[in-house]
Amino acid sequence: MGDYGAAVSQKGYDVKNCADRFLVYSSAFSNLKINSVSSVSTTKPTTGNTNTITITHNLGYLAPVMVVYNGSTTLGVNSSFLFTDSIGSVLSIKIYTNTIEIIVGDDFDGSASAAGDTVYFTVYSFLDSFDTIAASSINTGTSSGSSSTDYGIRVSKAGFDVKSCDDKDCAFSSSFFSNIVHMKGVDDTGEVTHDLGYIPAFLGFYKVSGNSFLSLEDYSGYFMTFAVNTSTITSNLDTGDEFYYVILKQKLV
Amino acid sequence: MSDYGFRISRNGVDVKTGDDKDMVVNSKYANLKGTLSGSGSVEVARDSADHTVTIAHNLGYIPIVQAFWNDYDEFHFLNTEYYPLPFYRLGVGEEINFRVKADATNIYLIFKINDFDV
Repeated sequence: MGDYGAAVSQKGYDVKNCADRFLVYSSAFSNLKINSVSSVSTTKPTTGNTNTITITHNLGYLAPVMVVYNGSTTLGVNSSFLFTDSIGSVLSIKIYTNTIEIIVGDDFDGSASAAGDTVYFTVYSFLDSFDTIAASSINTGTSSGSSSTDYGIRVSKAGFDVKSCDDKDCAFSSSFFSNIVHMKGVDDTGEVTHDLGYIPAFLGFYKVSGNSFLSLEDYSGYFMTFAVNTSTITSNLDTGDEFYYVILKQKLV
Repeated sequence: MSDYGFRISRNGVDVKTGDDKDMVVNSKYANLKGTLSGSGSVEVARDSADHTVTIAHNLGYIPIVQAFWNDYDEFHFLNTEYYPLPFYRLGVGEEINFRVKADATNIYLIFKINDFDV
C-alpha cells in the first residue's frame, strides 16, 4: 500500500503508530456507515396471527442491519434488547435487497406483552454492502501511550452544530472507537479466516439455500450460532447456505 | 441534502464519483460510536433462573449494545471461542438462553440455562 491517505486515531493514541483498532478512521479501511435509523411499531397479534413490519431502504443490495426491540404497552419502553424480545427469543427478521421485515407472532415477548399491545422497534440499516473486502492490517501492535488532553476531531451529522452538539449526534468523533471494517464478504464453507490475532466483534447473518433474504436463524433450530476465535469465525452452514459477515477491528478480549 | 461535507474514498475509488458505500468516511452518514468495552465472568447455574451481569454506562439514553460470551469451563464449547448475543440453543435436555438488554443507565447481560433433567 502507498504511504498516503488520512487517518484519525482515538484520543490518547498516536495516529502514526497505534494499532489499527485504535483508529477512528483510516483511508486504508472502511467504516460501517448508518444509512437510516427507523423507529417502527406494530401490535402483538392474537393467537394464530402474525403482524409484519416492512421498512424500505431501497439500497438494491443486501446490507447489514441491527434491530432493537424497545418494549411494548405492557412492558414499557425503558429498556431495549438487541435482536431479541425481552424473554430472549431471537427476533424473526428478514433482510431483503430493498426492504427489511420484522415478523411479530402471537408468542412474541411471551407473557411480558399482551395481545393488542403496541410493540416498538428501532432498526439501524447500514449502507455498506457485503461485497468482499479482504483482510488487511497496517499495525497490529498495542497502544502507543495515552493522553488526557482534549483535542481530536469531530464531525457532526447534518443539521447539528459540531461545536456544541451531543456526541451521539456526531457522524464520528475521535473521542470514541468506531466500526472500522477489517474484512467483509460472503462465505459458503463454514469458516472465515480473519487472522487478527485477537477475538474481534462482528456482524453475521444466515442466507439459507433458496432464500432471497438474510436472517438470524438457519431454520433448522440454530440462531446466531457463529463462533469466533483469534483466527477464524465458524458458522453452522448446510449445503448451499451462506454466511454474510462484517468483521470489525474491535478487540473483544 | 445540501452539497457540502466531506468524504474519503477507499484506495482505488474516485472520491468525487464513487458510490457512498465505497467511502471510508462520509459525513452524510453517521457511524456507530463506541464508548465502553470490557469483559468479565459470571457463574450460571442450571436452574432456569436469569443470572444477570449489570454494567453501568450512565449515558442518559438507551444505547445499542453488542456482547459476546464464551464457555470458560468448556461445559459445551471450547473456551477459545466466543459467540454473539443473543444466543439460543434448544438441545437434548437443556435450553440455553443468553441475551443483552440496556436502559438509560445500565447494560444487562442475562444468562439462563434450563436443565430439563434437574
